[in-house]
Amino acid sequence: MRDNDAEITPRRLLDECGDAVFGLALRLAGNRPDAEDITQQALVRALRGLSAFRGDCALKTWTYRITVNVWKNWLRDRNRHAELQEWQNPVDSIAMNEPAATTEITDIESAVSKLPAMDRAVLTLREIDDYSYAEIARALEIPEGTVKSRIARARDNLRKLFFTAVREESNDA
Amino acid sequence: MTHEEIKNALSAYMDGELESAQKSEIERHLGTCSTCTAELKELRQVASEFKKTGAEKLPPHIRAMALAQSQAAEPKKQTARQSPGAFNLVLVVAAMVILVLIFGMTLKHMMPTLFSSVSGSITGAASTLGASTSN
Repeated sequence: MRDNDAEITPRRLLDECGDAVFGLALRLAGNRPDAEDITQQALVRALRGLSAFRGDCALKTWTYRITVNVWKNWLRDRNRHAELQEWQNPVDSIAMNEPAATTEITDIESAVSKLPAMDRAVLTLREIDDYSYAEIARALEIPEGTVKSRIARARDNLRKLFFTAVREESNDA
Repeated sequence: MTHEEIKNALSAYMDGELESAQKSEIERHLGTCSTCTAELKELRQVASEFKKTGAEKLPPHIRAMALAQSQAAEPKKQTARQSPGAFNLVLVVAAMVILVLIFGMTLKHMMPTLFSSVSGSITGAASTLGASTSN
C-alpha cells in the first residue's frame, strides 16, 4: 500500500489515522487514560515528522509503527520491562492454555484483556483493520511467522476463555 | 497434515492466508472431522465478537492537544533559525564600539588641545565637587 497520491496535511493524518492510533494504543495499554497519553505522544511525533514520511507504506501503517515505538518508550519510562520483554521475545512469552480466569470473563472485552499485548495488537489489526498478515508484520515490525502464530494462539485463547465462560454461565443458570 | 497441524492452521485458513494445497487439505478434513468443524465455528464467532467491539474514536481533546503541541514545536525551529541573526546583531554592536574607539583615538591624535581642555575641565569639576563635599 502506498500513500503518495496527494499531499498529506496534518488534518488528513488526523482524519485518516487518529481513530486507528487510539484503537491500537487502547489495546496496547489496556486502559483509557494511558491510551490517551500514548496516542497524544504518537500523534505529535507523527505530525512533527510528517515531512519524513516517504509513502513507501500506507500512512496508517506508518502511524502504527510510531504508536508501537511510543508505547515501548512509555513502558521503559515506567520500568515495565516484563511487558517490553514479552513483546521483544514473543516465543518465550506466557502461554494462556488454561482458561483459569473465566470468573472474570463476562464478555469478549474482558476475555481480550487477559491476552498479552502483542496478541491484542495483532487481533486489532486483523479484525478491525482487516490487515493481511504481511501488513500486520510491517506495521508492528515483527516477523510474519510470528503474526501467524500469534493470531492463531490469540483466537484459540479467546475461544477457550470466552466459550468456557459462556458454558459456565449456562450451567449456573 | 496431522489432525493437530490442521487445528493449528484453522486460524490462517479462516483468514485466507494458506496456499491452495493446504487449503484443499483442510477443507477435505473439515468434511470428515466434527471436532475441527466445531472449533472453526467457534473461532469465527470469536472473531466476529471481536469485530463487534468496533473501531475506537479518537477523543476530540486528544486530537486538539496533539495538533496544538505539534504546532508548538514550530517557534523552536524559528528560534534556531534566528540564532545566526542574533549573532549578527552582536557583531554589529561590536563593530560600532570599535568605530567609536577609533574615532575617539583619531580625534585625540588630531586635536590634542581639545582633549587637554576637556580633561582639565573634568579634573577641575571633580576638585570643585570634592572641595564642596568636604566642607
